[in-house]
Amino acid sequence: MSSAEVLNPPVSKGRKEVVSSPQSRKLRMQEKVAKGIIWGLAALTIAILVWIVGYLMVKGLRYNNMTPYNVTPYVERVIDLDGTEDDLVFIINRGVREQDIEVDGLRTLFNKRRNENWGFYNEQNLRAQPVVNENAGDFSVQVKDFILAGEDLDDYRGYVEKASSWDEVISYVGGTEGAIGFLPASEAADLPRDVKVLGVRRKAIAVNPSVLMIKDSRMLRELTDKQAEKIAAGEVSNWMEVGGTDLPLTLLDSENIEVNMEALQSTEGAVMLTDYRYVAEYGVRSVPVLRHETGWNLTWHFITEAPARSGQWGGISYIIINTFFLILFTILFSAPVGVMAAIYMVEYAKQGRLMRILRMGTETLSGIPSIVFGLFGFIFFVRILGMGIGFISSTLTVTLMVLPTIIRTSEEALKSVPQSFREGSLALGATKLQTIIKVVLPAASPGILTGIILAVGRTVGETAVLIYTLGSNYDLVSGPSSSARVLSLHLYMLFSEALSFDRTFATGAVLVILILLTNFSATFMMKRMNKNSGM
Amino acid sequence: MKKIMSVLMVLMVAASAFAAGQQEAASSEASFAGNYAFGGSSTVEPIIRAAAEEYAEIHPEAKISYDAPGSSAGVRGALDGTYSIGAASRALKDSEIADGAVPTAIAKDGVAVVVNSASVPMDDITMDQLIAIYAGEVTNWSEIGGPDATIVVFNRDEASGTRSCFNDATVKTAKKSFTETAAIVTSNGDMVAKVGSTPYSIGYCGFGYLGRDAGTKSVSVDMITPEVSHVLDGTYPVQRDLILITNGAVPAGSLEEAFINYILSDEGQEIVAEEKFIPLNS
Amino acid sequence: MKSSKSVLEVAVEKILLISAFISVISVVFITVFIFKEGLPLFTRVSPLEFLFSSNWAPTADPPQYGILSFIMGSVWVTFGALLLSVPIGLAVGIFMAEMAEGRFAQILRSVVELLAGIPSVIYGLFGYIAISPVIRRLFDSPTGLGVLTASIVLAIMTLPTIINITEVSLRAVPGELKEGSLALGATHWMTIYRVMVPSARSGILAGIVLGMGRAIGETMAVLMVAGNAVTMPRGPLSLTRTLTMNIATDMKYAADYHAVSLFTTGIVLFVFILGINSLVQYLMKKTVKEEM
Repeated sequence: MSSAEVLNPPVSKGRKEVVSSPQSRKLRMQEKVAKGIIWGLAALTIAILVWIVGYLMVKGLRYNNMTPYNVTPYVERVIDLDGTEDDLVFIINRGVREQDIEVDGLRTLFNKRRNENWGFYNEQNLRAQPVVNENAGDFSVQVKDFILAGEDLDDYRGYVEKASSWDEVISYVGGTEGAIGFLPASEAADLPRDVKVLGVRRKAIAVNPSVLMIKDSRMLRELTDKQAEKIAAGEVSNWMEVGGTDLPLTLLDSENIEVNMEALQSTEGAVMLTDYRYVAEYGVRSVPVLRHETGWNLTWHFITEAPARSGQWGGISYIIINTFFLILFTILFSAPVGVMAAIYMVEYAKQGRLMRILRMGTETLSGIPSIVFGLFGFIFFVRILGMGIGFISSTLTVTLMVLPTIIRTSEEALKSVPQSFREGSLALGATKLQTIIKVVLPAASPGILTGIILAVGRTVGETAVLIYTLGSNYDLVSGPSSSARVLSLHLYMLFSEALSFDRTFATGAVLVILILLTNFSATFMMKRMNKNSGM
Repeated sequence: MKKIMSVLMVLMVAASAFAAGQQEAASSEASFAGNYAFGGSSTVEPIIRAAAEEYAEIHPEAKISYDAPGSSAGVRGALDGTYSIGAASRALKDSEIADGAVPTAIAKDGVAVVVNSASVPMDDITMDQLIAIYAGEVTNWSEIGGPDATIVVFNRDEASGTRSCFNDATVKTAKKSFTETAAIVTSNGDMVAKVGSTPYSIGYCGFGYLGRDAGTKSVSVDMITPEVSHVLDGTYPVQRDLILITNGAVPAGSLEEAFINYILSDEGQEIVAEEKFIPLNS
Repeated sequence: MKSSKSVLEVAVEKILLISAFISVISVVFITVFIFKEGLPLFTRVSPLEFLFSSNWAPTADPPQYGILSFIMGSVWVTFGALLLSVPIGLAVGIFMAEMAEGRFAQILRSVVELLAGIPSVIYGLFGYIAISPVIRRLFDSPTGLGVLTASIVLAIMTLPTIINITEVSLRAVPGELKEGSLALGATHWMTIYRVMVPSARSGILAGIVLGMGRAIGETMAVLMVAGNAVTMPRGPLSLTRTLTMNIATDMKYAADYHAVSLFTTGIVLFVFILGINSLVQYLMKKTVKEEM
């Protein structure tokens, strides 16, 4: 269709418009509506991006979870133990990022066959080192009963450190990473700076089994912390009020434990707020209570600590470093090749068959989906060249993938260098090569750099290529054939193994920040280039 | 341009310095110095990871890496030398044994049936019902005495060890095959997460993943609950051994031998239990 | 002196030539190896059965390799994505070329660039966490995953391609056409609608086809939101598996002919992409011609 044909209809209509005013009004309306819709869709595009980035940043920066526990969120920093004169305080080394712990965890810390890791409680990959005071008579014996409740052990296991005085316990906890110990409250009045008190959560909501039964296809599964508080305060008279079945609620006292436990077992709808150890001891059931946990997700620790336990503990420091190594080596391989290819295409190649082939090669390469690159990398570099799943195979595959980006942007940059630059240099007696190196390349460098930055962005975000060429080991890259993870891969692994959504989001936030940085620097470069060529 | 290059150089130096700092933990003294590549099943991964991290305390000079491309790849990797130890969550095939693969069982595992706890009221399901659901013959919970809602079936990917174990013990015994309309997930963790977040869904996973997601609950099969004791006495219908594979017998005095012995030791088996698998000696 | 320099110049030129050929060589290598790995499958199944059967059971006995449902999955998801992204993409492209001014235009431009730069895993994560619950609630779909969710995610991902190429082709429309139309009394909108868009249509079409290529080739994002069921898609809410997902899901474990069948899937994908690419190049050429 020629452009003249296209032009015709509006010409005739345009003329009519001037005379017939109702139609011109209609046209104006049409124009307004159409432009309004277009404005709306443009705004929608911005909204989509803001939604995506905002959502990820909010989720990535802060976590906000309701986690069910066997015990209520009520924290005791000083524990009033039945049958001891002095209250009990647990202390930990300041380096442990734990504020409070449920009583079951406390037992595990002292009772495992080997050292427990703090990672189970706060995702901090740090060995726990318990310490006890051997020479403290009655108090120690009672605490031992408390800690060892439910175990048929007479004494602590071998790895639990023994100290001979409370001062020694304090100094041991202060001087040992991940250490935990306990003191009578009277000794804990004036603790040194490197020791802090660990709160304990031990109050469970013990109930008569009838509370947890299904009735009218309803059933009580868990309580929120607020509901648990209300029950404890005696403000609830029927289980229906807290999401349970239609059953009157009887709140029992936990003072006389034996009598009241019997009452609990025999009274339908009975509930008692009691130490979790009695729940196990008397074999009654307890209702899980949701604790509202919130805080910073993307912390300094997360960025600087090494990953452990498939990424569930620690941070992502190795993964960030691996990402930088991947970028570095990919650019190291792809930038020279890409720029040289672009130089050839702009400065040497004549239009014609050769040029067409080269251009088609680049175009085709840029259109190939990353999963096909992945297949190729897997079969060619990993298998046929025998490089194995690892750093070098993936770097080479990604290099091929980003090559078209670099070639195309470098080509544009070289083309935008004014012909007069070249002519001037040649006229002054420089050879073609000298002209390219001394005159053309420097003038085109901002454009070339933009291409490289775009390639960096592509490398950072690439995943499908890497699954079968880079592997999934989360250690630091230690050699050309070592398997590793980069940010995008780590994110996918965390997601696909559903290890932790909080960590997935935190990793995603880091990834988005990196992408934002590369994008902004590319835009900045582009602006500079425009300024340069404008001169 | 020069400025940027120098900034890049500084960054690079900083990164490598940081890297060196991070790696310093590896001192060099004992006999097992070097890099060791293990790999295979994603089910066995937590055990190996945890054991390797513990083992690093004993032999910090040995750097053990683990890659999790799957059971079959683990066996193949062990045979072609990619991995010095492979791991699998299924029994070896005859062809693999013929090629020289030597298995060492390190733990037992059961495959439990899980449902979305908030929407599925049942606590037990018969084997016939389970087969009917996974063969696609029963598609509504009301057909087996549940609420009137479509059953959302989750299945594992075609070649997962867990899937083949589940297949052998369920639909295959009735000479049927899996329904095609099931949504496929690619890991145990993903399975419990999806079942936990999808109303009226059913899925299956290794025992180690029970209780990982609060939205799921396990159901007993023919009244046999998924418990360690039922796997040990053989009554639980869907169970398997987790194995490590080496190419031929393990050379004496090697790290591989020491590592396998470590996992078989009391401490190693404690890790197995900690990762919620079933120790051999229990 | 002069001759030694020209030797250097010649050597450099050769090195540059080799560099320029690396992408061509890569394309050849990729083609050769994907075909070499994938074609042996046809000693087991006929190509017709492979393409037109929807029975996929590569580890069964006897194994069955039919990928029709994955082809259909790719088709459904891609067209769903285009259905959503083409109107928006065209509108925003027109906006950027003809209407945008000042700050808002600048912001919009960086937004489109950023949308293009966001990694596919992020889109997938976002689709799973933010879009699928909405779909679940709105359409009473049990999982909230499937064709529709994947289409929405892909629509967002293909948006930048369509917007950019639409804008570029509209800007390439000769100024006389626009001026002539305006001079004859046509309104701005009529000029855009009746003159500019029709004369830029090859370029716009190229953009849409390019977006299609991106949607078909996308792996990670769809893998996270499409539900991955080995079944024929029956509607916008049904779970589906695309060609790329088939490769990505099974590659992890596959052995023997199962692995070969994945490369064969790769061939199908590759052929699709090559077809789309040639279409794009044809359309682009047409644009250039029309302008002349």
